Amino acid sequence: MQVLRLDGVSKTYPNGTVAVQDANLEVGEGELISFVGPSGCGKSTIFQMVAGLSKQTAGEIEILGGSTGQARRDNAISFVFQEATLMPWASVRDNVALPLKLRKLPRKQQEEEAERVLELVGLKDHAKSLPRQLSGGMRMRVSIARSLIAKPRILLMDEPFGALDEITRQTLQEELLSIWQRSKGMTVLFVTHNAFEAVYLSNRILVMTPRPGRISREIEVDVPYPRGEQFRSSAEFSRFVGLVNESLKH
Amino acid sequence: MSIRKVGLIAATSLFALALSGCGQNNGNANSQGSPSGEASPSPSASSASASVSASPSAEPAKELRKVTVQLGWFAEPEYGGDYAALVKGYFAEEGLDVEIHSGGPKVNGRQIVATGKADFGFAKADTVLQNREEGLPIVAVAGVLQSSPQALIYHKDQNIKSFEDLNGRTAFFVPGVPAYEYVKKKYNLQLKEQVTDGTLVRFLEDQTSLLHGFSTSEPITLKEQGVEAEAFLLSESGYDPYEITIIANESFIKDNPEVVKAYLRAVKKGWEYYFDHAEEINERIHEDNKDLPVAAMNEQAKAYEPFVNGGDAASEGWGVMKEERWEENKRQLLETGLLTKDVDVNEAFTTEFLPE
Amino acid sequence: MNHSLRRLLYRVGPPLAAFVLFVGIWEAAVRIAELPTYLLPKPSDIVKSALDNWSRLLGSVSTTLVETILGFLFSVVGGVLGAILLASSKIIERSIYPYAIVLQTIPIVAVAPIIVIWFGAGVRSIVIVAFLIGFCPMLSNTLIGLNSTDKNLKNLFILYNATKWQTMWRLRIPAALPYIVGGLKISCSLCVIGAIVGEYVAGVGGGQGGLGYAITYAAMRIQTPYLFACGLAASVLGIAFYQIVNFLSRKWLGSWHESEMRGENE
Repeated sequence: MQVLRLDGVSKTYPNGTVAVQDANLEVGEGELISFVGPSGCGKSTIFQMVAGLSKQTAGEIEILGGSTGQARRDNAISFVFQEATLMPWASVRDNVALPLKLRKLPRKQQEEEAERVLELVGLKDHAKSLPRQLSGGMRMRVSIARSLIAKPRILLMDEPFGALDEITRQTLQEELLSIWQRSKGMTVLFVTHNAFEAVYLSNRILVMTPRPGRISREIEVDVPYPRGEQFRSSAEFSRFVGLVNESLKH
Repeated sequence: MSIRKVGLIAATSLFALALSGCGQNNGNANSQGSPSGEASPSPSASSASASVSASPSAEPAKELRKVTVQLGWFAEPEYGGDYAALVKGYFAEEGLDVEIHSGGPKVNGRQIVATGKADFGFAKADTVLQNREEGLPIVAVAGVLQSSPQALIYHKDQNIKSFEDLNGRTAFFVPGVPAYEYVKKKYNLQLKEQVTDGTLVRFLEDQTSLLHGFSTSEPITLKEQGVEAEAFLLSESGYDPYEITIIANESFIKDNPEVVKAYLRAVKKGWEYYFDHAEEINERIHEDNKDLPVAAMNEQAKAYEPFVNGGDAASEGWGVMKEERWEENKRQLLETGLLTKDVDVNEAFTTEFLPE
Repeated sequence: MNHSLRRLLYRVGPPLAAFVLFVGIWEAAVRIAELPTYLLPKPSDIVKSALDNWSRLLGSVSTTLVETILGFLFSVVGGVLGAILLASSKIIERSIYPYAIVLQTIPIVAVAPIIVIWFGAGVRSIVIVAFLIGFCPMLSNTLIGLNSTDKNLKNLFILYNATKWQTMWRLRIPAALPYIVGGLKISCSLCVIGAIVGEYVAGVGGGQGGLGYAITYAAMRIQTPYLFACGLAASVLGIAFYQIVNFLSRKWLGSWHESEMRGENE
């Protein structure tokens, strides 16, 4: 079932910069799609348009059969940014429960759901901690937990692991895969500039090139899940990475 | 040392010098032209070096001794004697070059005299006793007003016959005046008090309010404004110390007894001249106090006459003070806790410098 | 000696020693120079006069204290609420904020007597004066805080469909807390000064006078040791007030804001 469709989507800024030119895309339920490209290729812009934070200048975006605004209002899509963007004065649990609190759900339900997602990311013991007491990786986990609490159909992630060290990043990649697999058909759109990350995570990679920003190539990574350490060190992995890098040069 | 540093040090030193100069030279700069603190010279004032009007007591062409006088309030007819002596040259005749500084609600003349910043000042007898208790070495050398015109002024339409009628009203008072505190304690008055700022504005706004002032001045000033007001004398309570005594510093008296005598001689002569020629002298007083019209001053002068020349002054001469009056006052102060220690009043006042 | 006692001594010891030294030198210098008490009293004179007039002093302090506290509370409530109002709409902010600035520049010396004429002599007027002085920094600081919310958090709230009020209540206000506390620190000192200067200028007398009047009276009577005692009482009042605000600041911000967190390097 199709969850997302981009049809001839373009974004041109008033000063003439073409951030995205004629993007066409169809995403099916349960896919994990990566957008890979250097800075300025438009991947974050697409993210913002899908999230409804900015409006395309041409073309159509359809999410779950409706508009981006509708999807947001239904809490069908959720977001993780590069910065964990936690409220520093609130506990981990309160941060995580924010989407439900804003929907005015009863307190008991907030607490239950918070506990559920914290368990998912392995932070159950830190429910009462404050953000400043956590490491960068842990804060990112909180951010992810928050994005999951409303059981979204589509999860948008914009370079979420970009600020973390390599080891933490790989750990979180594995955790992300694990969470995604356990979810019932959640679709993930992942933005990154890291080819390795894109290959490891996705079943399909959209390579983007800048000036103007366009989707230059689609690469299918038809490697089955679960993917472990051995995939990372395999020849197949290198081949895919090579493919991605080659496409990036055009 | 760089040029900049030299410049900085020079500038700082000059600045410091200028500042210290400001403190002392306040008067000296002005005194060349005229003996008073104000810029405009008065017709009969003599300058330091000009020929002095003939007078038998002064040595010819002697350099005049500079003397500063700090008034206890704004310049008003209660200081008529000093101004007359100034205008008519009596100070100059006595070899004195006198400079008069105005006072006001925030100016503390007694402290100024005690620290030597002025040679003569004015204070009430009871304040002299109180301040001496705090260690100020001031002594009263003459009593200008034989009785106290301290009063609570009220709007004429208010029905005030006794002290009890004052109760519960708003009072604009001068803080630290013992007469006021004595009366409050004695008659157990509860008043809504506010410190007077020297203007009449707030009193005018509130018909029921009381204004702490002199029976000889405020009612007259108010009349000028078209407001009818009466005065309730605080001395009605039996509390009646010498008002407006001339004070000087103990060490000044010790070191300059002749100057004190000369000053008092001139002032006495000034008072003798003043009441018959009030309009003339009031013009000069008005220069130091533009807020009070000359016409009002003329009325006030008439009111002051009995205070200055009445009582013991009539029989024993201007400025006389009696030990019994000082003792009585001291007793009243001790009684009401306005003075804490018993003292010998003879240390607080003296009549030895009064002219015969 | 144990660790926390040693840490206490480490913090308190030096300033305490400096204080004792200062007082000692002052006492000795005045004695040796034989300066008159009414000009520069010795510390021992000041203490004595404070003790002799203890109930009077306490009365003045309590009047000023009440005025300050009330004035401060009103400033805080007024300032924060006002800032929330201004922050909720750009148009409102642009139309009203300039007048708040004007309010800030009015000198107390001119305003206090007028307030007393309008509202009568007494605690009420001084509370108003203290309020006027403390209000502006509270308003300014809170407003800046409310307008300084992290952009990412704001976007997050938009993405989660938060209403304007939810954003204000759950995001902007908590995020502004460090700024509000900054405003509190400024405002509390100003309220103390405002109350005393207000008393001094408005000249409310007698028992309701507070420290401002006590100082006027002592100056008039040339009771210089008591004058100093009143001045010191005023300082103590200001310091105590500030410490309370400081304590609240640590309590509210200590867990999460850099301004109050004690680093490992201390």
